[in-house]
Amino acid sequence: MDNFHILNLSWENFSLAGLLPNAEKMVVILVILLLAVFSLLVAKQIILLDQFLKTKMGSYLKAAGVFYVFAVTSLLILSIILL
Amino acid sequence: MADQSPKPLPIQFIAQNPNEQVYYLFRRNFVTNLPWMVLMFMLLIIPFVFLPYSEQFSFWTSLSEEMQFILLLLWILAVCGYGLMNLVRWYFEVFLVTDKRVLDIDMVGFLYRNVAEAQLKSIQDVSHTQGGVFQLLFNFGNVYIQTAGTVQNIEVKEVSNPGLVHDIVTDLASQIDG
Repeated sequence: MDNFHILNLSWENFSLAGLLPNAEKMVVILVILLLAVFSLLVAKQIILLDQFLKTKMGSYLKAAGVFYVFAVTSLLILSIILL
Repeated sequence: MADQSPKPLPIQFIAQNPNEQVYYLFRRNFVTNLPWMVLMFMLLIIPFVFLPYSEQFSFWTSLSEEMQFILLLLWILAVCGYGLMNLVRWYFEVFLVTDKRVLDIDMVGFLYRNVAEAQLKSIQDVSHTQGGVFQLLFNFGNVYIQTAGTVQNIEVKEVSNPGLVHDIVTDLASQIDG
């Protein structure tokens, strides 16, 4: 017990706060995560609609949907690295 | 005498029968996209209008540069997602007329899809409505197709030239009836 105090360690210093990003960063990352899930749904819906009605423009929209998923996923990774 | 029969379009859909040909494809008038396009444009330029005055917003200046960059990208991507969603919705909400039936694909929100179909021979009554400044100015309106029995009635919303659509459907239905 004495050694514990000599090393200036106390339970107050053991906290998850230092390991986790602060609240506002967590909120931003969560919002981007939600956008990523939403982008996946958008892309899936476009793929299904393109299967339903086959047109040339539909395949361009499908590519746009896939690109959107890629962009949002990149943002998610970037936010985790930068924040 | 010129051939008055409609020409098949190079369009395929998933429930198409082997010998079925798509004669017409209608979608909402492009003008109906203006509200979301204007909103999207305004949402896109908002950050760039306010960024030069960002020093006046203490919330924004209290954030780190990385956070500001991420939030700006998040805003742009969210607005682009909104635009993509609306564009896809407009493009795939179609009314198809084939030599055998009519098909109406509607989307409620973005994730829910409703496909209504009626055989040309079961069509009993077709009507259309057109009113209001924009509908008269840009010539679009709603077409209602009433079918026999328990088959769902079809409502084609904000289609261009509703009078022509009305005429096409009634002509094809009467041809099938003989």
